[in-house]
Amino acid sequence: MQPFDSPVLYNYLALGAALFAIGLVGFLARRNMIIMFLSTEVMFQGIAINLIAFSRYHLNADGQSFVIFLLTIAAAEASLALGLVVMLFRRRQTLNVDAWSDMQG
Amino acid sequence: MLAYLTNLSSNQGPSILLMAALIPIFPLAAAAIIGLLGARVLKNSSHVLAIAGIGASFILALSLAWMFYTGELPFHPGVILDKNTNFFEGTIYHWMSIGTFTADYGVYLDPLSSLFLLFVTGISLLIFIYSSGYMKGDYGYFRFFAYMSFFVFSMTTLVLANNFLLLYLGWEGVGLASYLLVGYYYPKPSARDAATKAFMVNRIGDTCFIIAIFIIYITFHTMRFSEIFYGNFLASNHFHTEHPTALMWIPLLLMFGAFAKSAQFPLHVWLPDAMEGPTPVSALIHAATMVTAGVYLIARCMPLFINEPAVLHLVGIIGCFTAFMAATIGMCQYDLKRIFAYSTVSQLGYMFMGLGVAAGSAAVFHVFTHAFFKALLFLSAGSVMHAMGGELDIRKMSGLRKKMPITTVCILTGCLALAGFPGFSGFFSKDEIISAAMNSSWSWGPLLSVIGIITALITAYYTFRVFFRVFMGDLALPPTAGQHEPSAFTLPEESHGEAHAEDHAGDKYSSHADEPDQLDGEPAMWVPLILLAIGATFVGYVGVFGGTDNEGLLQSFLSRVLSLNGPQPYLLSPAGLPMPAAPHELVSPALMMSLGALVSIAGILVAAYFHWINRHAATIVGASLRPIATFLENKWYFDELYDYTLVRPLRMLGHILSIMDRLVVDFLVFVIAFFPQFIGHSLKPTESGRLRYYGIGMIAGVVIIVIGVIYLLHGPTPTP
Amino acid sequence: MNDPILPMMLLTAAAGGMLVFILPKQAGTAVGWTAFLLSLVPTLLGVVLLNNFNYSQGALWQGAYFSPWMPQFGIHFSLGVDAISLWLLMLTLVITPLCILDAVGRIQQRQNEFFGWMLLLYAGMIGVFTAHDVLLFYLFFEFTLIPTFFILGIWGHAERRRAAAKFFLYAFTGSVLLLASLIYLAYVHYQQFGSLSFALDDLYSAGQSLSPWQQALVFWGLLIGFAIKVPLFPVHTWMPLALTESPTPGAVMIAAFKLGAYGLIRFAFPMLPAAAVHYTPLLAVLCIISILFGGLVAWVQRDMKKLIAYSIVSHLGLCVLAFLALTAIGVTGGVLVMINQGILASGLLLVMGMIYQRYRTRDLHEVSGLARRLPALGFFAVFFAVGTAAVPGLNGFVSEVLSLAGVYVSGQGKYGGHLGPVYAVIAALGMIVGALYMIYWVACVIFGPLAEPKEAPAYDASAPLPPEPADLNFREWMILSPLAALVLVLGIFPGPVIDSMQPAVDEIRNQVIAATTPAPEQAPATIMVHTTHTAAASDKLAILIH
Repeated sequence: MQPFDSPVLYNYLALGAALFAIGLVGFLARRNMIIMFLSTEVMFQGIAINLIAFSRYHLNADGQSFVIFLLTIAAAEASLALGLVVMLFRRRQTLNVDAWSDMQG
Repeated sequence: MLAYLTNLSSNQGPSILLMAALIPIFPLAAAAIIGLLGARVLKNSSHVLAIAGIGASFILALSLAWMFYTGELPFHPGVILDKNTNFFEGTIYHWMSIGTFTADYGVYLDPLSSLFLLFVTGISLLIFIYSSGYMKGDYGYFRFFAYMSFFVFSMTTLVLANNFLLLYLGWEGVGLASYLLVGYYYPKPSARDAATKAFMVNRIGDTCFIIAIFIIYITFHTMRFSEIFYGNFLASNHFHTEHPTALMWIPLLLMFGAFAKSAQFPLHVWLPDAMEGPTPVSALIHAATMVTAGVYLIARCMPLFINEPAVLHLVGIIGCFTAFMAATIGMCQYDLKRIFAYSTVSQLGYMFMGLGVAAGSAAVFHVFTHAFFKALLFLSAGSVMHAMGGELDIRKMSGLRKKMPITTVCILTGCLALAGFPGFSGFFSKDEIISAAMNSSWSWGPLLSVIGIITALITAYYTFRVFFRVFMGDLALPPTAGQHEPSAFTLPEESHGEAHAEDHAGDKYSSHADEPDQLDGEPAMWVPLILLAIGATFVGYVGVFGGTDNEGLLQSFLSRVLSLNGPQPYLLSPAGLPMPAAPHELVSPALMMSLGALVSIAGILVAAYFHWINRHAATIVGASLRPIATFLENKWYFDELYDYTLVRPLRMLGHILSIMDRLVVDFLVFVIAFFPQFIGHSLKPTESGRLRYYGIGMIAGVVIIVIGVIYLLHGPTPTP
Repeated sequence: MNDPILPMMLLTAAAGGMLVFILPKQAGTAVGWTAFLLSLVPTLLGVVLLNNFNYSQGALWQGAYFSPWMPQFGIHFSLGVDAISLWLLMLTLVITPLCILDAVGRIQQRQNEFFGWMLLLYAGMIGVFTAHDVLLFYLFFEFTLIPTFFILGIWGHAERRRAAAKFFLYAFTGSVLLLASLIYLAYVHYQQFGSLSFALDDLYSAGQSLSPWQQALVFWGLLIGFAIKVPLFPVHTWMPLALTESPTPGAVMIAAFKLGAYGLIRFAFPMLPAAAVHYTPLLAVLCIISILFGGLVAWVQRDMKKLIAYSIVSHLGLCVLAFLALTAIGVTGGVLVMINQGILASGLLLVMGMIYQRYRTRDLHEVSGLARRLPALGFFAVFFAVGTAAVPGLNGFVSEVLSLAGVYVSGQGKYGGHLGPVYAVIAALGMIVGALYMIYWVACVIFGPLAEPKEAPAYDASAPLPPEPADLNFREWMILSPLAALVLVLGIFPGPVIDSMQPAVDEIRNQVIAATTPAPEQAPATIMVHTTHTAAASDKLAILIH
């Protein structure tokens, strides 16, 4: 049986894809650093849902354990990123990401 | 290391090898010790060690020559002794060796080398003694004796070498000693430039020499004299037909090497400038010994030359031309030492002329007599220079016989010998070369002979021009007379105190500066002069009397090596030789002798008229011949010629290449490095710093990759 | 059996470097003295090695140390020396301590780092000459770049940054090509035998088995890598800049050790004989251009160190030309050029450093007549200069005459090789030019009327300028006199070195000749060499496989 033939899996995958797409659009369209960061987190969750869905579908725990790692790292990353955002805000008094485009990197 | 030293000693008393090996080693040890300890310990007694070293070598050389003369050659282990050919050789240690490319430090003794050893060490001994007086109080006294001892080491190594590479070691060693001694007064720019010139001109010849050595090696597969000259190479016709080109190039390149060392046209330019060195150096190195190394080389390699008449003729022609050219230049110089320097070049030309007509023993005979009288002349010139406070311009001095009686007698002897006055040594040797040329079977021989006679006339004239100018006539001294030569070694802050330098010689003269009564100098200076004067008078007779078969002692001594009458294994076709086995006498020897005597006396008389009796006439004649005189005063413009055709273009080329190196070569590398840089620059705008674009870029990349993967997995038309 | 001497040498040098880094900063010159004493330890070990070496078996890699490192990739920590490496290693062991001694008290800033880098560079150099595994060689070869880069970039003169960057970029570009070529050879070995290997003999046989076209490709990779290091015309332009801007000890380390030439004769030629032989005429022309071009350009330099840099280009041109000759005389002469020119160039650079230390100038028109003020320094200057000008009796002559003779006899009869008299005669002009610039330098700086710059340009104010330039002090005597003694001894008694080197030279020549000569045309003796060689190689392979 092909994976996409399963209606349950199909729904989960659609949810993951939707989350990823929302995150992507948010990342590309917004300029507020915090919103952009949140968008990346949304993309993350979309991918995590994909992983869990496939894990359940294949009855393989690897995917789920991988997601736990992923969440942990996402948490650490979030604290780091928000710290950086606070620092950047203190420097220029703005959250607009274009304010930093002169770094050319 | 001990494995490399073989048979140095023997329990049967002093072996010949040891004796021969010690001849260079004594001066070397003296040089090393003086060099190490001279500055602090030996100081002004450095000459004692140097004289001791050279004295020991002289005694050894004398006993070796005696052994050859008496024919008693005791056999010793480790020594290859060949009774038929009268040479023996031995190896002291292996210098370098790869396969057959072997150069040992060894000795090769035969009458030729023992004769050279004898007069090299003998004249060096006298000149060392003279120098101990002449150089007294000089800054760097020890340095002088260290260099001089090193020179004697190199020269004796050159003469004793048993292979070409070792000979080259001595050859460059004497060049180095000459460089250091010409540059002895190195703070003087002229001395520095002369030293550089001497080294470079010699290096040109040396390069020819080293290439000749390579050809010798590839042709003979050995560099040892005994194997080349007495092996069965040169004796076989087959060998000659097999290597025609190599056997032509070897003597030709050796000839250029010899020309550089012996200051022959076109490489003669360094020798007159080399007179910047202290006078004993000019006497020993640039007149008596080192410059005759070229003659030694060709005489030693006669077997290689003898079957190449064309090269031998070239040697003769260039020798003859140089003799004439240098003599004409000598006529119009005013610097005492330079005149003698040109006369050295001229006399060396005679020697090469002798070699060119295959009269090896006559050439060596002239080397022998020339060593005595030219050393005498230079040392006398040194005494004059010493007394005149460094002044050497013959226009500024006159009538010195009253102040320097001993020097006058000595220099007169030397001048008579150089001018070829009958009965003096130079007369016999020069005459032998000229008559050998006259009676040579080579059709140009008589022409060379005639030019040789004309040159003899000029020689007599310019020699006595000096003598009559300087020693005859009314007394006139340059203002510097009686002072010691101002030191070239004065530091800026010391120049103030130099005038009061506690200098022994300077002290002695300065007290009598107004009316110096006797300027001959101290005994250490005039005793060697007298000994050399005796030599310059009488050594000519060893080339005339005392030998077998109506020959001179010297000729029969050398006959085993140099005579063409003896059984020479390497002589191929007597018909092609410059001189046949039995000379057909075009002009009888007696006639040649009287012609030589006549020419010599005529030259002296002309000089006496113009430069003693009627000096005003010389000025008038000089003025009427102004263009020629200018040409000669400027030494045929050789220096300028080389400067404009060789030195400047080369230097210009160097500058051009240097600029090219910076602009072109470096630029090419830059161009290559430019490509990665260009790619980097062209991609730079994509780094805008706007996060959004990076995101779009990432997505685009992912999309492309995904499409690519799908395309790869499912082919161009993905199944629905 | 593993001989611990070589790893101990490496370890003492490297660990010594680390130790010097962490010494207290306020130790002052004590840091330098510590480094000097540490640098003597490998030298002492070298004496032991010299004593243990079996000179009759010079072609064997002795003092061997083998320890598996990354066996799955065929990379091993394998050290050893044959007679050629032995003498080059000895050169390193003598010159580096002298360099460090020269720096003691002269280098005032960041002493810990300087001497630490010097010792690490020392370790790298030891590694280059002792590595038996090709990748290990490459690692050491690359590693020497890093300390040199820092020494040049931190303690150099005014343009040090540009010089360091240029030096690094040149050397690194070459190294990348080198690495690619070496990995390709290891891959060839993998294709043939199913396992990767970087052992020297395996890569010899791997390279020799390639088709001429492939050989040519790999050869150019190796050649460019090594030619930059040599340096050979036209990739020499980093050398004058690096040498000029480097502090004296660094300059000596760059100039004295001929890594590039060593790489050529040890790796490029025996590994890719067909290509080497095919490109011999082209390379020989480049060498001759190096000789004459380098000499003439050296002659017109105003900067003394640049003069030396171009003189190295000139002499190394002769060295590589002698290698190309592929005669026993020539290859020996080439190796001797590496050793002798290393000693002489070090001596001259050290003398120039001492002049610079006194007068703060390297311009040979600004100082003159130093023999009067500094007689001992003048003596050493003239001594090394005439040595470089190849006056017999000093070591420069031995190497130069052997190289030229090797080129001359090359291609004639039994001597083998593919060059000929014409090359030798043109290269011999280099002897004239070589004398020209050295004697010119002596005439400008050592001889002539005394002239001293009054005001020293003071951009390096850290080291005090002595009010009255005094002659050599004891430390400087101790630096120069061992070098002068070596110059003399190797000039008068080169026999032991030459003789011991012969088996190793013949081994390398056999690698090339056996692989490039079609068997039927060979004399029986050479065929035997060929077959024994291949038998030996297959034996070795068998051992490796099991």
